[in-house]
Amino acid sequence: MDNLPPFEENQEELFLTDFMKKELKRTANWATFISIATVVFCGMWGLNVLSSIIFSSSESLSSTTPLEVFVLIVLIFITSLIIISGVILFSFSHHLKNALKNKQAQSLNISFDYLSKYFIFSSVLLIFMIIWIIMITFNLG
Amino acid sequence: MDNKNILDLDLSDELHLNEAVKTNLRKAFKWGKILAIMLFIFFGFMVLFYFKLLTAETRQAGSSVQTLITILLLTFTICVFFSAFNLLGFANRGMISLETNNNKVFSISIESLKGYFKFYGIFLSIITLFFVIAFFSMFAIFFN
Repeated sequence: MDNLPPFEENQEELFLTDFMKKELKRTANWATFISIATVVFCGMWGLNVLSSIIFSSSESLSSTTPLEVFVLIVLIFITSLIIISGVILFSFSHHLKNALKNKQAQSLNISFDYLSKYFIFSSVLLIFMIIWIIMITFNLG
Repeated sequence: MDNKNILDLDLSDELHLNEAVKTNLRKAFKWGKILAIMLFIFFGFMVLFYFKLLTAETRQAGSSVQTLITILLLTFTICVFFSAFNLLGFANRGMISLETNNNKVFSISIESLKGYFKFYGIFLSIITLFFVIAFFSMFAIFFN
């Protein structure tokens, strides 16, 4: 934060320079990649969960406990949250690209709205991940 | 104010940030900061988990799979730290730029946002790769 430019350079209003547009375009590209990777990740996660259920049930079909059912429901809930966050991120990148292409402040406004929504969803997801990592860490030894 | 909104809807050379955009940006900075703080907490637990895993591994004389998991976890932890660092930079600098109308600080903030998405992209690729490996190894174990 020491490298901040002096406040004398402040303008009356903010606008997007060419450098900012370039950086925002790269941001939008990364966001598109992440949203697609999120769906692939969910697919792989779902396949892993499904295959582990199939393999374990083939060994002991009637041994599914209520706790396992609860864990499965929580996993489905988390997976749907991840998919929704991916869709929101895709909307952010789509509107950002549109704003940069057509120079529309309206699209820019919508894109930043999606960005804040994405951060909210990510925060909720991270709470689950923190709980999960605490549970794993303190049961490991 | 009305004139400014009309101009913003037109196709002008520069893309100015009107009050509506600034309001949404403020919201994004606020939630970005919350997410960054939570990512730092997550990073702390990841480091704790990593050390626990290392001590467990040295007790069991680690195999090649364990070493692979350790390397993946280390990369994952580093990505979490850098994405949290970039996101905090985006939020803090963004707030300053909005308060002072400083375009240079705003451009640094956008650069940090790009950095956050970049590290998050790498991080997500690693986990997806991990799940692909886990999926195929599960099949290999089952059919052997």
